[in-house]
Amino acid sequence: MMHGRGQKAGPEQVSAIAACFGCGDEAARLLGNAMIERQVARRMPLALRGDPATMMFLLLEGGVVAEIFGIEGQQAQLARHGPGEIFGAYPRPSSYRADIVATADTRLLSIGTLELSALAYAHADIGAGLSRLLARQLDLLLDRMAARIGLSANGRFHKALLELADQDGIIMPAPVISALAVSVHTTRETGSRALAALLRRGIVERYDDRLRIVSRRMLEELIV
Amino acid sequence: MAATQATILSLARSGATQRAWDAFVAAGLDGVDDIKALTLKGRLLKDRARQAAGAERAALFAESGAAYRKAATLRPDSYPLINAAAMDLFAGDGAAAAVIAQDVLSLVDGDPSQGETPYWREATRAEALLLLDRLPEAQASLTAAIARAPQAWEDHASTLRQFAAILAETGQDAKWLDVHRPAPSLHYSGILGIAPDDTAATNAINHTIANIAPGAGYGALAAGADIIAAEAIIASGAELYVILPSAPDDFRAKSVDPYGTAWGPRFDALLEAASSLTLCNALAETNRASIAMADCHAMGMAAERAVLLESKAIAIRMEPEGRPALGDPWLASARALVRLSVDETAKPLSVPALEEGHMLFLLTIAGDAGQAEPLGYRTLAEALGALPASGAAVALDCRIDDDRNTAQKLLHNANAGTIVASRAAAMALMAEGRASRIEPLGEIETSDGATGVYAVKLGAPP
Repeated sequence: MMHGRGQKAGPEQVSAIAACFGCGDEAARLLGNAMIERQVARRMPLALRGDPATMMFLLLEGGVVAEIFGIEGQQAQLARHGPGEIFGAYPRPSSYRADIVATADTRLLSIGTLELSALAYAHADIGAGLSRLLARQLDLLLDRMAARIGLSANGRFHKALLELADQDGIIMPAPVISALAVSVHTTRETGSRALAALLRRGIVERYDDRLRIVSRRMLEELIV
Repeated sequence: MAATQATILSLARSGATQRAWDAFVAAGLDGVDDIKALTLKGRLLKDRARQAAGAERAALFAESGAAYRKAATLRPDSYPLINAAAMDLFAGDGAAAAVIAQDVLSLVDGDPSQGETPYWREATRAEALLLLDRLPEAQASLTAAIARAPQAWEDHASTLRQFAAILAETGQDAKWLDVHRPAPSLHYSGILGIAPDDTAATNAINHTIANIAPGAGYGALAAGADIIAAEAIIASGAELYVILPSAPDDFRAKSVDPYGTAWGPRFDALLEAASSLTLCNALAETNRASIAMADCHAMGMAAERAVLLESKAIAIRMEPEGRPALGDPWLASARALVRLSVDETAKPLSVPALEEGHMLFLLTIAGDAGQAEPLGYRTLAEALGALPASGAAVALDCRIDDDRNTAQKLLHNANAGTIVASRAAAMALMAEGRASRIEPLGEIETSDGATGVYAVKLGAPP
């Protein structure tokens, strides 16, 4: 089960919320104020089938699977969620249709279903961000069902950097790497390693307040 | 629906050279005067030239050069222009290559914004000098380029490959390039039964690894030889890449802690110091099959780095004299192997025997007769022996469970005449030296999470 009582979302988590919801700082702060950080150890359940589902979760690190067991004990995986994905009950509370189990040590932000619903109703920025997030997850799910090759974690990170840059290749302010990584469904380590490789090759330069893409063509070639 | 340039590039990367070209033409891109379309055309024609022979090969290289040259006329750019020069040389027209190489030199020397990155600016200059047969200047320029970005190893490797091809084309010795190759990759493995304070074994391992002077080391962190070798790799200044068969707590409980309390803190410290930790399967138990798979994966990663960086891969085995190396995938690769004799100086007490498990290579084939069900093979050699002669789409996975879905999913992404492999299978191919190239295509979701997907070109590594 979840460890501890949970902590209020801090600045790093607010950056992750802004990156995942694609919303402004004000909306991210509102969400952050309503969210609690939770941790679940590997192989521990976050919820069991039939439990009341009254929360939504934004996964920051690790992963969870939704799995059900048949009458004879056979296991079936319904879904798998990684960094940057949301799951839970929305727009109204319901009950879990599967066991939700952590596949690794997992860090999430939780928010009450009704509270998120109310925030989405009251703030267009949050509502738009939520719909964007859900639409992206539907795409992801369909890609998984279609067994289609998607971009690698590095490829997604490179693409996100390219999309953040202006026409001169400047990204200002410099992005919070952990937030950018989670917004493209990968880990902070993967994002940090990908950026370090770009810096050592001179494809990207880092300054105090910004990043500069030196070679757009080379970065595009790395979107695989 | 017309394919996009990204789709066409992906086809080219997958090894479907002719299909990529057909898609390029079908999309109406052949006559398009656009820098991106023209550089893609240059690349596709270059790929086709490499598969052709004789006059056709020369003609395709010439066409490739023309496409790159045209791209450079739309906007002065040293990247397509230096490619145009090299293509002309490979087409057999050294004089034309020299003229363009002179243009490249003028462009790079006259415009400080040319060359994309600081490394490529100087490396492009070096290549132009080489094409102009000004070898000492080219050598000095290449040294200067590497000094500008000493850790841009992937870019250095591209230049080394290109220089080797140019030198081969002009019948010159390429030995001098070796000084620029990065330090070798090292795969390490050895026995568990070494006492934590065995200074003789530790000194021997330290000495041998210091002599190899690796740039990076790959392996697990079991008690004994693994941990001592990993510590030696860190001490030598190389990067350590740890590959475990299961989650660290499970691995530590079964392969570290039972061999003495001194190993646990050393295991933790090495995990902290490692450049990366790869879990072959976070949900797997530590058993003989998952250990074999992780070991194979680590060998594959060492070989992958060596191929990617134009370097060498070496393995070290730390075992008692005369122990037979049964089933070591590295032996199939014919790569360098260092055997270090170490004595067993510690016997673990009451360590439960690990479960056996089984490692399987799953092969799925789609040919004229339709798609076959995935078949499992105990060895890679057996799986490759079952490949059809040519023309079929093939998918290869490597697993320690019976899940055949990934092999089927992979097949959806294989084109006729190509082989796609999961990350685990691609690493096994690299470990055994059975793939000359693996090209990343992206990733696919499986029951274990996402796995990388690779286009595989079979054959001995370069």
